[in-house]
Amino acid sequence: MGEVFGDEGSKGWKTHLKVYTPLFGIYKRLLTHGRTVHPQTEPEPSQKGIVIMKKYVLFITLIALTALSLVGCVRAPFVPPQGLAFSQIKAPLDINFDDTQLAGMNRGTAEVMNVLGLFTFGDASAKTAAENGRISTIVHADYEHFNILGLFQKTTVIVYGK
Amino acid sequence: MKQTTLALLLGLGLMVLCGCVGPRSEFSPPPGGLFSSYKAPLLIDYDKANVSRESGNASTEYFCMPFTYGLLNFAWDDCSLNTAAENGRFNKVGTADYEFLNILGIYAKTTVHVYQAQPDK
Repeated sequence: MGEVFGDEGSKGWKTHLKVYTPLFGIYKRLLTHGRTVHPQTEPEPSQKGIVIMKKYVLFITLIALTALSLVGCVRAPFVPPQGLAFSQIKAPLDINFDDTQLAGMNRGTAEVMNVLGLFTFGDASAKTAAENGRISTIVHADYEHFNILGLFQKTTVIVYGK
Repeated sequence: MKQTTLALLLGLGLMVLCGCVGPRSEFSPPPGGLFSSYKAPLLIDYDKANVSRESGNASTEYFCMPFTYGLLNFAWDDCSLNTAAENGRFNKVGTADYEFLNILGIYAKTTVHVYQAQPDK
């Protein structure tokens, strides 16, 4: 029994070797073909421009993706859903409405800007907003957020008071 | 091309791995990845909050050693309301703002500005 099995086993291996060796050969040829550089596969002068263009597109896409990944969101006690492509929202900053009377109140604004998600600058403090609106007592505050593709963002603080 | 990609990735890694630089306040505008210098309200509950010209400020600073994966970063100083009011030589605060400066996630400075409340009539 053992010999019979052994014979069948050895025959099986031989058959496998006969079938797979040429396949390995083809695989090996494919691999080596990939490594060698033939003069015919080099791009023609007319195609070189396309190759360079593709590289630039890839580079610009990479920068745009980096900028988008760095796009931060405005943080506030109440934030409605914001659009990554475009946003222009206005929402309450002060969410305590005790003694909040808006009739006949002055309005002052101050803003901060963000460019490419990389640089943020400006002054959106309550003090500056109050000074801009000639306000000495603030009774309420809102904010406004504007965004185009994450390339340019503007956050404005709006204060109301006397 | 490979060098540019590598530089971008390193820059991103530097920014991401340099710890939590941004201030955690109730209101903050979108921070800049490379540079930030902005002022925003710290107090957002305005029930007849006074804004006077008398102000005091106090600040904390932060430094991160680049490419140390956020392991070697240092923060020091005092930006408490009490210290800011003491620096302004008053004891009743009307409202407060904060100022934030961040350069490449390596150096950051957070300043709290407080404004004196008008005396009760």
